[in-house]
Amino acid sequence: MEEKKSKVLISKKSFVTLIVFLVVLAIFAVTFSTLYAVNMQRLNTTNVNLEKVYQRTFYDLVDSVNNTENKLSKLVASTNSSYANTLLQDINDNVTNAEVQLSYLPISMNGISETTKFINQLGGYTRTLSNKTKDGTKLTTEEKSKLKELYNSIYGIKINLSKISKNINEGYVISANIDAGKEDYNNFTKDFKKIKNQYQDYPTMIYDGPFSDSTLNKEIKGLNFEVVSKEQAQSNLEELYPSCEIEYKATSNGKFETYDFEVDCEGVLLYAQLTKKGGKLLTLSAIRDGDDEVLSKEDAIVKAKEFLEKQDIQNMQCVWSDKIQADAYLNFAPEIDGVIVYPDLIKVKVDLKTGKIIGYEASTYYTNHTERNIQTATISKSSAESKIESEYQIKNTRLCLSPIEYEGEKLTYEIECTKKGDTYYFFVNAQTGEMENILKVIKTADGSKLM
Amino acid sequence: MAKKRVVKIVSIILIAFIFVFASANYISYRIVENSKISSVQTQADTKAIQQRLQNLGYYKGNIDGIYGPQTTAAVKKFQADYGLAQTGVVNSTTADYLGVNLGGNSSNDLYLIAKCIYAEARGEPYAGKVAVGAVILNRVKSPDFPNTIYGVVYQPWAFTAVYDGQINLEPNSECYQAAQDALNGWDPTYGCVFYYNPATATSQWIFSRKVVTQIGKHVFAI
Repeated sequence: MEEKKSKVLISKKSFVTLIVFLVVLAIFAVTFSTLYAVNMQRLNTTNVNLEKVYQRTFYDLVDSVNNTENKLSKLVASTNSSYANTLLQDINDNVTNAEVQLSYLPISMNGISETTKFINQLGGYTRTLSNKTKDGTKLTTEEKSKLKELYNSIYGIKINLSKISKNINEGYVISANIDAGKEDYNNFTKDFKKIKNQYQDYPTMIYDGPFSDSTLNKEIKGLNFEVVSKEQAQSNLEELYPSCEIEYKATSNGKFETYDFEVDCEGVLLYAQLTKKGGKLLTLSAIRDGDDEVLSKEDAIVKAKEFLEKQDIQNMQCVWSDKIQADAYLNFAPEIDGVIVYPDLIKVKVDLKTGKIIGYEASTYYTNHTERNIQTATISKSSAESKIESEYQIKNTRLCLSPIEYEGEKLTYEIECTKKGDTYYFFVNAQTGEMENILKVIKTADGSKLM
Repeated sequence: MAKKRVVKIVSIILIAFIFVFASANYISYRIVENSKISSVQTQADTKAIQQRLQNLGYYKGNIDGIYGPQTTAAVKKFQADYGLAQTGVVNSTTADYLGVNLGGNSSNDLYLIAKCIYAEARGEPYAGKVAVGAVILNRVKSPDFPNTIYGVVYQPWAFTAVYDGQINLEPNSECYQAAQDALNGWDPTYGCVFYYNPATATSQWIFSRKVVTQIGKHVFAI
């Protein structure tokens, strides 16, 4: 009996404990579920808003593509060159918008890179044609037939997008399963990939403008040397960095073919890449030793020139310099018969604490460097300067060979001017007197930039 | 004895509960914190302000982009010297006096590239960091990708660091310098637009790209 009684007593106590436990559990459950509900509510609001942004972007894209298709069909039909020019500009605006809208949608590059490329090139091509037709030049027969080809592709994209629109109207949610953490997470993204599959053969566009297939594969002019061995390249590097340890790291096979080494100079690690052809130093990347500045920018220029001369690169002038913390960034270009040759640019970075060369970039130099016949200026310095509006104060004028984007090298007068504390560089063609380019110096916390 | 055991069990359960509850809350807090979009412009602006104040001799602290008490004090001192209201806040008037361009585009680009390098390649050698910055800029130039630095970095599924929120970590000085080199035209990859770690890459498709070079653990491809 007693045993039984005590059992009941324990049960009673544990019953109380159980109740307490259950109450605590209930409190937790309520807290959790409330938190969960609040969070779900928030998540839902966020998702709804996200979906709105995606749908708006998608329908804007549909508009841009439809406008492009419509105007391209008019362009193919038009015979008036000034109307054609207006249409080309409109197409370019719409295509630019389409590119931005496309990049906002949550589709991986794997699914849309071909379409993005087509859209970008269509933009570059129409901009080039628009520049060309500005002065009344008519489109050629080849250009017209290329435009017809492009029309067919954009029409294909339009049809696909309208299919997707229909699906969205019937309940597709663009952001559905977006947190799945993989690329093809719903029907929207899958349908977008189909655009690529159905129109795989976007036409090739070769033109002198942005994103052209021709500018992507620029020929290298300045490396007409015999291929050297890895050991030869290493010994060339040793001459530049005597008493440093050099270790071979890799061979690069890209646009440039190089032997890549790591140079250890008293703890400072430099990554040096030397061309297989000729064993020339192409790039050098390293970080500076600290933030102390011992040397001036002028000292750095002297050091950089010595470094260039060691590699038999002569007549280089420092044409632009900037100091960012304790790094001096120096740009050098050759001066030939009083003309600065900008296409043959070499960039050098000098550590202002140690005076060591910790950065070198000669890919532009080796891409463009060649024997040139520089023409003489037919326009005088003073008549070039007369092209500048009077509110700009002229500081300096010099002759230079400028790389004009998509047009090639042109002999120009570079006229440095200031206005209200801002510095501008005007480039006036030394043969035609036309203004070719204007650069403005933008000062930022991270040094000055030319834009 | 049995009662004690019950109390023990209940306490253990309670402690376990509290622990689970706290850690669940902490984890969700971390997830939310990590995935927050940081105010890029403000931090880049703050850096510009700190740099300018330092050049003028008002600020002795680090250029860290954090608008803390040191920065506020320096701004106040500057405002006092120039007869401006001592608010410690840089409004457009103070910015004009400082000669700082708030929201300057170049700084934002530098900051974003530095963040991306830090998140994606902080354990890599310096050249590998420059290379990651160069890949971003090569993508901007390539027709296959968006045409702005922000467009490229935030392109869906382009960088894992954007996904897991590591992009919001504050970059160190080395990553800033690497970003600066990349913006100044350094490109140890000669135009590559892809990189991956062969030991951890999961996408089969990436292996079909033509490899140009390897720097550190990353393979760079076109």
